[in-house]
Amino acid sequence: MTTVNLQLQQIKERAAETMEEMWVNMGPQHPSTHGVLRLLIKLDGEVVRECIPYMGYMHRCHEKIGENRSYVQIIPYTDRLDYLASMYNNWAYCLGCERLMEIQIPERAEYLRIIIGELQRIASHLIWLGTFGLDLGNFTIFMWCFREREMVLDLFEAVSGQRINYSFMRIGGLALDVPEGWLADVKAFLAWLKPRFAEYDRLSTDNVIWQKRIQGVGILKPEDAISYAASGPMLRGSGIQWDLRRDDPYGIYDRFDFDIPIGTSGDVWDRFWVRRREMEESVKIVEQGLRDIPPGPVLAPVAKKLRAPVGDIYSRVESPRGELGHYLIADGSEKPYRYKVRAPTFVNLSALPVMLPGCLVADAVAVLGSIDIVLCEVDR
Amino acid sequence: MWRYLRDIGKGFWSILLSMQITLRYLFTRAVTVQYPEEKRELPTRALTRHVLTIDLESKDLKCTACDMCARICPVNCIYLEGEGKGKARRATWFIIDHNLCMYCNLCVEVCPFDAISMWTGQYELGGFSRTNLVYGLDTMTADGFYPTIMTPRPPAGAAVKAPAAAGAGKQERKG
Repeated sequence: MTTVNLQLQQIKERAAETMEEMWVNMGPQHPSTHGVLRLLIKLDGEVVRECIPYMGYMHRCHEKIGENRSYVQIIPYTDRLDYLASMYNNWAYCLGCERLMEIQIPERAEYLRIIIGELQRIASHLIWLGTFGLDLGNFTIFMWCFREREMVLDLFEAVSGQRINYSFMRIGGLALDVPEGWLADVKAFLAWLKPRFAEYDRLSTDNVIWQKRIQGVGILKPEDAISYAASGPMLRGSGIQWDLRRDDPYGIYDRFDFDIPIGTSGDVWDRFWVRRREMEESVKIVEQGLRDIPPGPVLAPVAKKLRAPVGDIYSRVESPRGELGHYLIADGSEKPYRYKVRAPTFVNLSALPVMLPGCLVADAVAVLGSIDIVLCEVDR
Repeated sequence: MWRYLRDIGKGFWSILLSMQITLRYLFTRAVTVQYPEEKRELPTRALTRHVLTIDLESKDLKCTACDMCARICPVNCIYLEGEGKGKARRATWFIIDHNLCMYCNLCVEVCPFDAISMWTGQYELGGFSRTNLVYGLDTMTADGFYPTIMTPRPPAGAAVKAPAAAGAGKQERKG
């Protein structure tokens, strides 16, 4: 009897030492990590105490490949970074090359880039909203967002012939002009999309369960957001009004009139609400672009063999996920000497250990979803 | 206790509101297409498989084996050799490994003679072996006219005939 009691006592003591907090692997094969991401989570019961993200499962040597390809040949590779917003990768890279080689791109190409880019932002935010709903257990919105996203993809397919990896932008403009009647199609799509926002709101935003689920969860304080160099909706959700489209205008964004939605408390709800309102702002920008777009060529006359002068350039665009930067060092040859990508999701993901402690495990999924990670871009 | 019950009630009410919209969609047409039976129409520019275009008058391949496409290809999936000098130069063998192709359309854009095109509308490229996706000169040669960037639509009367089936695996010259 006493020995049994003693054993029980020992088990309890050991449990107190070892079982109170435990390390659990979430991923790399987990449906809610949006790819292959491994989170090492220290759990106390159901409360997350610590989190260490491990990434690199999808490292493909993107930058090293870039150093062995000519400037034009890198463009298709940039598609494969952030495959939900390929146009922005093309754009950031081509913008850098154009600045390096001092190429002035035609007016129509500038307008088309903005129209296409903002459509891409809508598509990217739609798929984010859908998968975020999936993370929270709201399946209907997933289907609906995909329906509208398919329409954007159809528009892009009519333009570039591809649905995901477009490779549509070229150094000096665009590969092709848009087909006849495409701008009218965009207008029709916007007319269809605008009433859909109210439906999404009815389905998700006004839903009390949805609100209770994400309000006050995963708070990222403004000072933390800045010190972790977060960008995009992550930073704006924390209440800091920073948008490269307005603060460091590239292309012709300074001619457009739009608002920058910001959050107040920096929780998951704010990030959701910022993205949701950004879609409406994108609709506004596309409408202005459609109104003002001039006729003309879409590709500046560029040499067949592009050689960049010696120098370096850092070009950045506001992708749907934040500041996407491409850094190029040219040594005067056909290939860049060094090529570096500043991936917004990689930087945003590193702020996860600040947001997770104190959350429940079920909320961890919501917090991770609110970062809007694309693992192909994180790992490169 | 009262708040707890009120929350449950609110939750149910908001679900009902959402269900109202969902119910409305029950009576609209489906947006999906039942793929193998129905097929959606591809836009003209859809990048599908490569084809070498033919000059309509002389029925010859336009390709002069200038090696531009092979040099611009980021993944080196085009191999070709040619014979002859100047305008009489023709490809003796021309192989595209579609296992490697990343559909960037750079080879089409760089071609000075519009001799290669990806606007063929053939997207069912599946096969049982990897060599089925390696296209050579006889599987790449179109019998008819295919649109290119410079010539957006076929002239009236030009019959558009499909090239040899992609999955047939006739061409297995080089793996």
